[in-house]
Amino acid sequence: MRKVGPGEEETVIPSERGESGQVDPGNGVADGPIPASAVAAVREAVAESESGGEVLRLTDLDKRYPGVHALKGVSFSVRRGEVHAVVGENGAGKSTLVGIAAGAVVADSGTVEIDGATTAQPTPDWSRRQGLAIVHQEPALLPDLTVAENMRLGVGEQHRPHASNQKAWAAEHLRPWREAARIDPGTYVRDLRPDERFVVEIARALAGEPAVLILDEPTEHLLPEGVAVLFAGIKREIERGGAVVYISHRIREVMQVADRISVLRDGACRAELTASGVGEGEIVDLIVGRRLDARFPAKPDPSTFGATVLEVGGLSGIRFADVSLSARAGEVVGLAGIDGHGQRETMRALAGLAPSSGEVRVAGRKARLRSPATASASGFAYLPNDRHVEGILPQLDVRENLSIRSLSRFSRAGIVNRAAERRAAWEAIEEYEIKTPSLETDVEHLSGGNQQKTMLSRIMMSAAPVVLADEPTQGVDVGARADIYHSLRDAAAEGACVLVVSSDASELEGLCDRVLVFSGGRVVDELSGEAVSERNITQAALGAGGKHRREEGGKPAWWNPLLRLAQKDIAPALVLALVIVALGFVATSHSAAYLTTRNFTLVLPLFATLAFFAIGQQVVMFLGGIDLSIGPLAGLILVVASFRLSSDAEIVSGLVTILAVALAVGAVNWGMIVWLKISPLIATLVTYTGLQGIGLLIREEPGGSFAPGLLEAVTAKIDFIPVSVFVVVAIAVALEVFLYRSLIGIKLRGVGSSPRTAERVGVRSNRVMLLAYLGSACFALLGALLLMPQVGSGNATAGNSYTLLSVAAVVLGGASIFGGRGSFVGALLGAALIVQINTVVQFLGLTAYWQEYLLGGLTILAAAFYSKARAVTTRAVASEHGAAEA
Amino acid sequence: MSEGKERMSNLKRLAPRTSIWYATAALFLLSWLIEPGSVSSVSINAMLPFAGILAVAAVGQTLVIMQRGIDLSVPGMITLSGMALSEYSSSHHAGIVVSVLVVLGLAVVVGLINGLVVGYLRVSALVATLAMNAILMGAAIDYSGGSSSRAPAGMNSFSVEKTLGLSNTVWLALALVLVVGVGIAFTVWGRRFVAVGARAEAARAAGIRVEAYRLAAYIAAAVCYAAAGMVLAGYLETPNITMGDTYLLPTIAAVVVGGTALTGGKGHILGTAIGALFLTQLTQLVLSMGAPTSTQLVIQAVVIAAAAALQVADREAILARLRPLRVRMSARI
Repeated sequence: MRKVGPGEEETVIPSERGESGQVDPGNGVADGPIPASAVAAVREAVAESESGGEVLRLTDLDKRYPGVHALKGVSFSVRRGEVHAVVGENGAGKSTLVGIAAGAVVADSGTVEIDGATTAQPTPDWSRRQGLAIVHQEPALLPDLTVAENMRLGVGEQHRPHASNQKAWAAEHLRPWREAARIDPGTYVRDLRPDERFVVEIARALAGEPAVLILDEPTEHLLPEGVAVLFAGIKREIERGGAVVYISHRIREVMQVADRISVLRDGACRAELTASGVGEGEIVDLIVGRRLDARFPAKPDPSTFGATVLEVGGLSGIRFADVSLSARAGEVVGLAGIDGHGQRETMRALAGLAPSSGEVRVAGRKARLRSPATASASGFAYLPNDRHVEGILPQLDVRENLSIRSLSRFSRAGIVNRAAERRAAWEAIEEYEIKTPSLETDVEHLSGGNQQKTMLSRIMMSAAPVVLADEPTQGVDVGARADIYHSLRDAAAEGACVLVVSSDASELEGLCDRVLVFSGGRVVDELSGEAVSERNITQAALGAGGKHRREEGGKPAWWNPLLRLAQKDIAPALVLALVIVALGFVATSHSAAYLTTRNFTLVLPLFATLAFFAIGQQVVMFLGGIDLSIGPLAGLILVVASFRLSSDAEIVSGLVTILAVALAVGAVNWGMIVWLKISPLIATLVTYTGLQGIGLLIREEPGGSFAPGLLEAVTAKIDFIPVSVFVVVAIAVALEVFLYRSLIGIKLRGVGSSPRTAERVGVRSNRVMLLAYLGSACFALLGALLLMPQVGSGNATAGNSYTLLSVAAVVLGGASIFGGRGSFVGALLGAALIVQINTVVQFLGLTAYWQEYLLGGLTILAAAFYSKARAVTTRAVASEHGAAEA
Repeated sequence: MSEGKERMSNLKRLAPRTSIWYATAALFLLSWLIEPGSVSSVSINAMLPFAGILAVAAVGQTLVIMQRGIDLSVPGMITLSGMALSEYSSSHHAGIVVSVLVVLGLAVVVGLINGLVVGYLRVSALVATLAMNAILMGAAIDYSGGSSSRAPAGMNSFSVEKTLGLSNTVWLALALVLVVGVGIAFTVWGRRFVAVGARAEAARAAGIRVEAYRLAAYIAAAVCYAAAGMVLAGYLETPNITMGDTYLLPTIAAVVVGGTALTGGKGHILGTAIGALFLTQLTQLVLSMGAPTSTQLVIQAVVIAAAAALQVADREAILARLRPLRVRMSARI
């Protein structure tokens, strides 16, 4: 990510503008070259007078991605009190256009002006400060924070409520939506349905009273009631003097809400219209246009098709229901529809990548779709939609990428015959015209089009009877497109049947013999022969309206309440407390010595020590990090203290010294993780080893002593309970409160929950991480202070075991090692449980190894249970989502 | 992208794979220059068995890291297998072959549990293997009663003796590197194993049973640690409860300096073995210079940090090429 602080943005005034002849409405700046000074003068004048109403102005934006010219010098503006809609097909450039305005995408050229300030390279922070709010299709919400916390964190500083007030504040902004979604501001976002998340996202954007509000396909995730609320909200926003950019492909909605409409096609602005003056058909024609860019292979006569290869009967799954279709050898069948209406989901189910039920036969034999491996064995070969995730195998070369699906063809007794493999790979490279310097070139070094051809060739080499091609030409240039169309047609000619999902209707028109149009998860239309036209496909998909319905979720299982409880971050603490008490009872019944002040005097300091380490570990684990260095750090602190903190006169200077040591170690950990980008595990493993070495170098054999006054202070007791126990409990409780009430606490959980989304809502995650690693080192320091009386001398290895014990304690306490969730009180009780196990094992007269068994076993059990509980509830929520969207 | 640039980045990518060879050669040269005693035949012969044992264990760690995991149960598995070998053969009067097979069987079970907990219970590898390490340590104390019997004589002579002038442990390591390296490079199984590590989603979509390969990695790894533990027990004659403790970090270090990325995918089995040699000789050099044992810890730390940082820089260079695509993907979402 580019680092541009506030106020450092370069203000760029283009020396030449308007040459491209693009529609540049709203002001009268003339075409043709004009001296820069004159432009500046004009611009100032414009800013004062003519464009007084324009809050957002994008000028001559140009953006190329590898293989795609996504934006071709597009200019766009919106005035105060106006709704300006942008319509176009998928891939027309809509999201790129607004992405540039919001600072999420860096333009190759062109400028962005928001509320009078101009820059060539807006950052997310700059755009936000200028008053631009964007509602993405994928809400920028942090799953492990509550609705109210998300709204508070994401709204601008000037609108941010006080912590004590945040729920009421959030509830007030959610109130207009109550018809569509009743959302409790205290709910975790991870437990919301997608339409509810979207409501939160929009409500948060409106709460910030933005100068410009950009809505990217806002109705796609909303239920019909939500759409009405949204339109009311837009109206209020306009009346308040805000401006709205409304991106959608739903023409009827656009005509209802917009004042102006811009049509984008192939990265260029085709027209700018006044909404009142146009008809729906006119807009459809503009969106579709006529494409000259791809040459399609000739379609064969249907009489040449062979036997039926694929038969699908009543296939149902998440987001699609009762889909029946059949395809013959030689046939190319398109599955069309608006994104998310079931066509892609059906294809993924056939590939074994999504659960489904129904009857599927390939060449008469029943297909098993339980997993991709069985689907593959049944004869399906899937060309993935997103080759960067499910397609290319990075680090592997072209040959290995080509042959991965067909290795058994080139092997005998499990040994790959390289010569045969190379021959087949060369044949594929020649046949499909993959441009690669060699077979051994890393596949990531190929251009997008050639990567895609490699993926396609991989499918062809497997000679599967059914080819499933999901967006076969996504991110591919024109030349490669034609090659890919011919390859798919060739595969059909050789006896396969080919299914194609594409959001580009013209592609389906040119390529397919037959097209099934999906809407709302069902096949609503079937076009064949002459009827396969872009116009018909688009009409059928848009015309069906794509109604969103809410369906019943799965039946709640009896254990669901249990799982819901297990989901709460504090729940593990309750369970741990129960186990600790139960173990205490067992010990008491075996030995009278357990429940004595003498025992507690011995055990409680051990608990307080481990608890400090556990709290330190919990701080970094909230970020999905880990700090292995805390154990050896404590050892090093003991060693340093045995030299610099050995008499009462040195207490102040000695404490300052060891604090400096701790902070330095925390900073080194942070530096390695943030600047050298070493994973936290390895980075702190480095400090783990290094600190131990340094400690031993300073003092090889344990020795020295600590200031008596200090030892007295850390062992102080109230009755038989050490003061340190009160301190550590107070700290844990205070941190727990801090975690949920303070902005920094919310940021800590937010960054751990999803670092990228946190950055998107303006959290500086590096600073939060610095704080966390300094914090964990400081808690290790406190732990080391308590270790002093227990160890008695400067011993470099005395702290080592606390590294692993602290990890076990926080895992027992319910922390997720992936960050975002956990609890300081849980960590505290995790530490208590570990100490309790060690004590009880001794009182029961069990041998010492039982400590290890119990610790290891309980840690695995706890981690497995939390992981399962969270996965199950997430899945339950996910399938509810699926049903809601289908 | 110009061809020159492409070649540059190819070189860059290759660098971590070959640099361990240069680094090791340089280390031996340096050893000869500053402390000729550290490359004397006595010194080399004392060092090689440890290099062999570390290499055997580190090959196991490589397999797990290739699957984007990490295995912290190395010390426990080494200790348990060393102790169990001695205890089983002496208490059952069993032959060396039977005892070794029993311990290897035990390792398969441990690896299976690790793999199932990680793959099916979805516990992170870090937590699962950390907890498993505690259990294995407990089991080692449990089974041996804390003090160990002598290692079987056969194992002792295997570990100490040489064949064709080279320590048997080195032969064992070489054989393992050959079997695993060839298995990964030339078999269908090995190809799929690498594919799963490189990108599990893509491997799954291509019809590969991802879970089975992950499971296999943990099982094979545990078997490697067990082999290392048994040979170490033979070398030490009387294995003890702390014998595995010093092996966790060096196995990971050998993998990292050997050129295998912690982000998984292609591994470099031979690189790991050379990395083990490098680390062991580094220790030898430091010790023969009269530095305290603890110096090696600091040096190890610096070596790992440098190797990891270099790897990241290398990965960043590749990511930079792909960044526009990524931005685009996120913009689409």
